Amino acid sequence: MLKIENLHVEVDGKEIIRGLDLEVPKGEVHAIMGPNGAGKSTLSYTLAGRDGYTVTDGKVTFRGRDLLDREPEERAADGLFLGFQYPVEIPGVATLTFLKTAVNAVRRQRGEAEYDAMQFMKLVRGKAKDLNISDEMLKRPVNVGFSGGEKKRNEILQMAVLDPAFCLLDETDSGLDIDALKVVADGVNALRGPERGMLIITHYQRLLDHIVPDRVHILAEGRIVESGDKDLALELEKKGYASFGTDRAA
Amino acid sequence: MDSTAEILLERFSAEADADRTAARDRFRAAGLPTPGQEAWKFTNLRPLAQFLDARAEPANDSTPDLPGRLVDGAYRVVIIDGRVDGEASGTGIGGLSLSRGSGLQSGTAGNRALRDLSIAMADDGLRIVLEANAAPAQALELVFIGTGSRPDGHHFTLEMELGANSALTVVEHHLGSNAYAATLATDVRLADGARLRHVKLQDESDAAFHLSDCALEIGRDASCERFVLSVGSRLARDEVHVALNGQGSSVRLLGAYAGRGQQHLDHTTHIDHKVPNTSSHEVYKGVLDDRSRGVFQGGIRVMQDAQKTAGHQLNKALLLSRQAEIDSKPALEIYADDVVCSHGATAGEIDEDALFYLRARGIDAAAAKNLLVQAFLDEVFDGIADEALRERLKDRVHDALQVEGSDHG
Ligand SMILES: Nc1ncnc2c1ncn2[C@@H]1O[C@H](COP(=O)(O)OP(=O)(O)O)[C@@H](O)[C@H]1O
Ligand SMILES: [Mg+2]
Repeated sequence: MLKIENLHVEVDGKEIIRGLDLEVPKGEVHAIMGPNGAGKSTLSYTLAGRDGYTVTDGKVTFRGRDLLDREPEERAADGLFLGFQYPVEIPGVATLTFLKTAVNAVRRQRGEAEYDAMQFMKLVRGKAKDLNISDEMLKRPVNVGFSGGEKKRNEILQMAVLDPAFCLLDETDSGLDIDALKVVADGVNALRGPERGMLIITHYQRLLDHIVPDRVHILAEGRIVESGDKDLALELEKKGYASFGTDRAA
Repeated sequence: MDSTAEILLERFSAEADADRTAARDRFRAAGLPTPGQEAWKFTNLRPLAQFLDARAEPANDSTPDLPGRLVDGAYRVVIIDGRVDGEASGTGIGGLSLSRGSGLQSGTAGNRALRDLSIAMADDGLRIVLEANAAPAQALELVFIGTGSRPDGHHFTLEMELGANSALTVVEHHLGSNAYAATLATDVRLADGARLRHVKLQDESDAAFHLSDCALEIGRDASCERFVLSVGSRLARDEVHVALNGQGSSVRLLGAYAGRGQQHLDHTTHIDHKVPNTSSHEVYKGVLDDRSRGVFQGGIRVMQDAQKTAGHQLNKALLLSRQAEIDSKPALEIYADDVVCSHGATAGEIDEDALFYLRARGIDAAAAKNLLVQAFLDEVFDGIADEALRERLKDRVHDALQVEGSDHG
């Protein structure tokens, strides 16, 4: 579903991703683990199409077509969803307005009918309830004044409402206490299915107790240095990143 | 005297009274303001001079269409090219009387060229008087339409007198077609305890010049809330001079502006805190695209006696293009010691992180930009109590700002 071949990415003239290969077939959940500064967020932003992340070599295929020449909004419409490590605050734009604009923009690009206010509210209310998101929170400006946990739950809400084919979650677990982590993990697990692919980026093994991956990859210094099944995460937790082809400590 | 001032004063009436003649003499002596003067440092009237020198043919004097009301059910007075259209007398609104006639009584100190010009040259004007304790629910809406039938300029004077403890909402809607220069001088006097809500939409023709000077005198425990939205004109200046004359008086000045093309939009305010226990609150926000230019000058003066003054001023501009420009000049003169005053000015571009976040959720670049621009401006609109009016003004500015294409800036 997502295939990355020999990817090289520069930021500010500095090469951060250095020959990365990775394939996530549909129906599978893969995890990427790596130390701080390994390039995990750089990979996420590159896949989502952010300006300033220059691909100098390599190829990314998503659902059978070249991903890298698509605009960010087209990638979203194609079914790629990035859960941000640091969700952005948008003063003045109510969360509900934002969600409705986004879901209808995606549906329009996919040639589907836009939701009217009633359909939309029904959809959001249901998903928000599962994630413990109050009506009051939905009325507040996007992520403004949200706690760390609220921001992450808001990311998962957006994901649930947009119903993407592929979920790329960048450190969705960071800054969450154990209860919030469970809520988020349940939200992610609810979306697992034979048609959907997922790439879960995390620094800690703990999330993978709740979202059990099919494959685990270790990213260090811009490339995948080791791949294995879920036990690799446990091994990594014990031995630390230092033993996996990087001299940086976790 | 310079030739532009000459053209503007050409039609000066031989029967003018002493006030008007004095205003004419002041304007003639000072000439058209130039950037050499401190108050006009950022606004150059040369395009106006060129327009007047070119002596355009008058545009065909067709009857203009009336726009929809900004306030539902408002009592309307229409002013076309500086003349009241039809009668303006019995409004049927309790306590409110209107009468026609140009001229303002008070003289002014200092350089107030726009005011002098309007007083000297207005062919017509409107005097609005509200009795003490009257508080009509119905708003008064003044629709100023420019047609271009008077290429040498049209001028108007407006006087509002609110009696003690009265309350009124006055809306000004300025619009038009073709090229013209419109000037307006306004005097507002609020007696003790009076409350005025003043909303102005400056939506003149893109080829027009709009020059306005408004003086507000605010009495004891009286208050004025003024909102101005500027989207029209090739060059516009909205000057407001507030005198907080009575203890417990307050003023709130809100402004929003949206510039495109080569528009030049100037908002100049001056607030005098003259006595103790007065407050002023000012927020102006603008969005500037293309090669447009915004000017904000905000003067606050706190006199020696005016202890316990609160004065707050904020000016924020969002620049959508590298050629757009904002000049912001706060000027605080504080002669009292027990005061709380603050001012802030920021100019910035669209938040790229926010833009990317919206796009990553499927919202295209142009729509995402619009959403952020609206969010930036909306804060000022929240100060408008009447919801229907607020939505109409928001719609107007959002229309004006629709970003075409996605490769802007
Ligand atoms: N905008 C940027 N400009 C310059 N360097 C950056 C930028 N973003 C990230 N980097 C650098 O790229 C490397 C990888 O960062 P990042 O992808 O955020 O790592 P991770 O998410 O794995 O912690 C780091 O060395 C970081 O300092
Ligand atoms: Mg990161």
